[in-house]
Amino acid sequence: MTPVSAGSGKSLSDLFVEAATQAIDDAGIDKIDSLYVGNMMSGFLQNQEHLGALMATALGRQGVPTYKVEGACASGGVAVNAGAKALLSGLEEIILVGGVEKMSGYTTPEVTTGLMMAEDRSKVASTGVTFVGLNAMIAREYMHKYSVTHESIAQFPVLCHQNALDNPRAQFRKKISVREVLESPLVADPLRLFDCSGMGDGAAALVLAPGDAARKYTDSPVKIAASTVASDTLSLHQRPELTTFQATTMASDRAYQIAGITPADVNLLEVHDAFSILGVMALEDLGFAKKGTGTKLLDEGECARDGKLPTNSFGGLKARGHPVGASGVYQISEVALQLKNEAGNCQVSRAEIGVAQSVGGIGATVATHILRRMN
Amino acid sequence: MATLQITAYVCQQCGWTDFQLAAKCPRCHGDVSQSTFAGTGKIATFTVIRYPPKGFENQSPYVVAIIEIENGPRVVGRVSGSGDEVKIGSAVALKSNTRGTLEFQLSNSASCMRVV
Repeated sequence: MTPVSAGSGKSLSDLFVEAATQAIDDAGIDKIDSLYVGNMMSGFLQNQEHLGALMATALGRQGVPTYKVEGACASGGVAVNAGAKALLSGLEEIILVGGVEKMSGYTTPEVTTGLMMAEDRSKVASTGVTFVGLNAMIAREYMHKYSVTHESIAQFPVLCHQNALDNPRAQFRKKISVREVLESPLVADPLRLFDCSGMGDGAAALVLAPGDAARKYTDSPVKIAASTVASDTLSLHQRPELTTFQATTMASDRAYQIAGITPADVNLLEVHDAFSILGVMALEDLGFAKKGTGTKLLDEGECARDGKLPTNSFGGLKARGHPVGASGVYQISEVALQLKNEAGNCQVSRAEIGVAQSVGGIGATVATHILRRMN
Repeated sequence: MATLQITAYVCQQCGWTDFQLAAKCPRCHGDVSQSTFAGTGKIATFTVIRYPPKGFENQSPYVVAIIEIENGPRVVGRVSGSGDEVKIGSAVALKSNTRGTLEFQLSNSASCMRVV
């Protein structure tokens, strides 16, 4: 994982090679059988596509089969899913999955336009709505429907900023208060600046290998107990219910079933808190709180690193940073580091099973991964 | 005032109405057919865009809402005005429909009183 930064000065290839080389060296592998690259906006922002072959070339690994995977902000999570499925085919043994995004050096309207490519062009983007705006409409409906205050929801970014203080790779290592969230500038009412993740550059990568072979490469392998993807209508207004992401529920229900666990067995969580409201909704949609009560977990300190359900222990999308196509790979890598007991100052105690949830668009694509420590 | 209309798609099986066309009903996979609806409804939720995408820079701040069309689909569209008077549940009427991009106005606003 590279640090997430709005001033990296690095190219897409620089970022990807840095993260991929770390993963390759850490695993001590001398070959890779295939390469998956998650990315959302390189075509629009950098005028660069064909990232599969581009990154294989940059790594000096041309020849391997390569796949660029795009699922909006869930691109990284979907790339890991694609890699995990390839592994199950038995045709390949060592698979490198990375995610990369470069968002710095562009104006806010440019990046905003790029992100809106995840929505319907003709009926939604054409109104001038932004992704912050779509999430703001969910937040307004959520607060109205469940009588939950902005103060309660603002605890989510506060938690993430607190956790990021100990993460040397985090974009925002600065403590914030609920009051600072509520007094930060409005971006799309009711969401304010500190409700929203920022724009940053970053890349993350990990190595997948079959369970019996993984011990050749590490003393503390982590098992992907489940890897699922679900989709929903592309647009928010096409759904009967705005305050739940059906794709999260579908992907996570299936993942719990495959892993043979229930939410009660989970003791580590990385959720897609691109906006404060999404963090709260994820706690509910993943089965840890009833609808409208997600903020109670925050009130009770359960999501803190020393709580029962440590959440976004490295700072989450809000504070670690959200280089969109890479975020899913960061999340899964961070869960793996926790389970390997290699999380440094971010380490939680007693984590055996961790869940990572990655959202693309306005909940139209969701990837869920369940990771388990291998004893 | 002549009410502008919205084209949407109705499931012949479960009655779900959708602003977007799909090959089958997104709820029950029944067959869908095109229909038109009067452009009146109420605000389900809304926001005020203060940091717009390219091409909208000169228009901000502006209001975008999800609107529950009366006996019809939910749609997304702009709402005229600053947003100060917009509330969840406010009645709105369609003001313009540019190839499916909708702009509404509050039904109680003065500009709506003109009878055509």
